[in-house]
Amino acid sequence: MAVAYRPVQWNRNKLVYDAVLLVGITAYLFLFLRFAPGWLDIRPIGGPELRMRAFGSCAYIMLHLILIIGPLVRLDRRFLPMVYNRRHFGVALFFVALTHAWYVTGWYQAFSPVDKYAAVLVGNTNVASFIGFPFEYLGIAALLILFVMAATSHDFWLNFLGAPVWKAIHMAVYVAYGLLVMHVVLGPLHSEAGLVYPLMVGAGLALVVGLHLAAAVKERRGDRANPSGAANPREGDDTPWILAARISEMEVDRGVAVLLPDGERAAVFCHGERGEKISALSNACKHQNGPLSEGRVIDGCVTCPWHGYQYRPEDGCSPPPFTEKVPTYRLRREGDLVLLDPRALSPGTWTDPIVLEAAK
Amino acid sequence: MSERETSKSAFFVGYLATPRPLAWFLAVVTVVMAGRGIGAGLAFALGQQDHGNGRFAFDRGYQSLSGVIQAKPYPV
Repeated sequence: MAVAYRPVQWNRNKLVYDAVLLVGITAYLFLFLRFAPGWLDIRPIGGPELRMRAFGSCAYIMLHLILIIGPLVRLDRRFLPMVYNRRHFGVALFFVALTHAWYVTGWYQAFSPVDKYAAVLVGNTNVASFIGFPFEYLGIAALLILFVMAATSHDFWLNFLGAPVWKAIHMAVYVAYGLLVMHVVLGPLHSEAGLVYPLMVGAGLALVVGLHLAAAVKERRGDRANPSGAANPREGDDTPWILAARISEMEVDRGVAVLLPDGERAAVFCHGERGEKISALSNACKHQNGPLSEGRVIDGCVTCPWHGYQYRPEDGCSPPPFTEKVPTYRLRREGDLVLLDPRALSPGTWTDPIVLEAAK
Repeated sequence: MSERETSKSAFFVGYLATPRPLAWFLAVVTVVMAGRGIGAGLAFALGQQDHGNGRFAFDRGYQSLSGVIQAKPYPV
C-alpha cells in the first residue's frame, strides 16, 4: 500500500504500541530480577539461573498474550487495534525467547565435553521416554518456528509469499505454543513439588483454548443467524443466487459477511453519501486476508479493520496510486432482500451497485 | 431505508488518530493485561522452590542408598 518504499512505516499508533510493549517487558524483567528475589524466603537463586527463568517465563506469558488477541477481537471488535502491530509483539517474543535459550545453554552446557550448542542436542537423546524426554528439543523447535515467523514478519515476505502462504506459515504459532507447553511440562514442571507452576500453566492453557472456543462458537452462531442461503431462482435465470442480506437491517458504511457455498465469505456493504448503494466484494483483504466485512467505508472506500487497506466497493480496486485488487460479486435486489451471485468476478471487476431510490 | 442506522461506534484505522472512546478502552485493556502479565510473573517469581545449596554432605559420613542407577542420558 506504500507509494515509496520504507522498511517500516512508523506512525503514532505503532510507536505507542511498541513503547507499551517495551515498557511492559522491561517492567516484568526488572520486577522478576531485582525485586522478587528479595521477597523470597529461600536461598538466593544464582544470577544466570534467575535470568533464564525471568526471560523464559516472560516469553511464555508473551506468547499467551499474542494468542489471546485473535479470539478477543472475534469476541469484541474494540480489541482490533491490538492486532495492528502484533507482528512487533511476535518479533519481541522471539528475542526474549532467544535470550532465555542463550542463558540456558550457557548455564547448563558450559562445562560439557563437547561444544555447548552441540551438547544441547546430544546431551540427552532419550526420545523414547516420555518422562525423560529431552524437553530441550521441544524448546528448540518452538524457537525455530518463532524465528521463521519473526524473520518473515515483514511486509516484503508477505508480498513475496502471498497472503495465503504467509498466513499458513504464521499459523505455526499454534504448533510453537503446543511445543512450548510440553517444553514447560516436561522441563521445569517435572521438578516442581509445589502447585503454583502447574496451576499457572493450566490456567494459561485453559485461557487460550477457552477464548478460541468461545470465538469459534460466536462465529458459528453468526453464520447460522446470517440469512445467506439459496434463493428462489427466476424463470430463465440459472444464476445460483443466494440470500445475502436484508436491506432494512444494513447499516450505512458498514458491511455484512456472507458465507458462500464454497466456504469463502463475501462482504456486502451499504455505501454512498446517503447510504444509497449496496455492493459486494471479497471478504479477504489482499494484505493479510483481514475480514473486510468488519471494516467501514471511509472516504468512499471499504477500509480493512486490521491495517486500513482500502478498496472501492464497486470494483474492489484500491484508490490510486495503490494497486491492490480484490474480487467482486454481482448483486440483485428483490424487495428488502439482497441476493448475491456466489461466483466471484476477477479482482478489480466493476459491478453495478444496487441503488436504493429512497435512501436517506 | 430511512430507518437504517449509520454506525456511530468508534472505528480504529492505524494511520489515523485513535477515536477517544476507543483510546480509553485500549488504555484500560492495556493496564489490565499488563497487570495480569506482571501478576503472573510475580507468581512465577515467588513460586520458585529452594533447590538446595548444592554442597556435598561430607559431614554425614557413609550413607546407604537403594534404587536403580540410570546410565542414560547421564548417570543418575
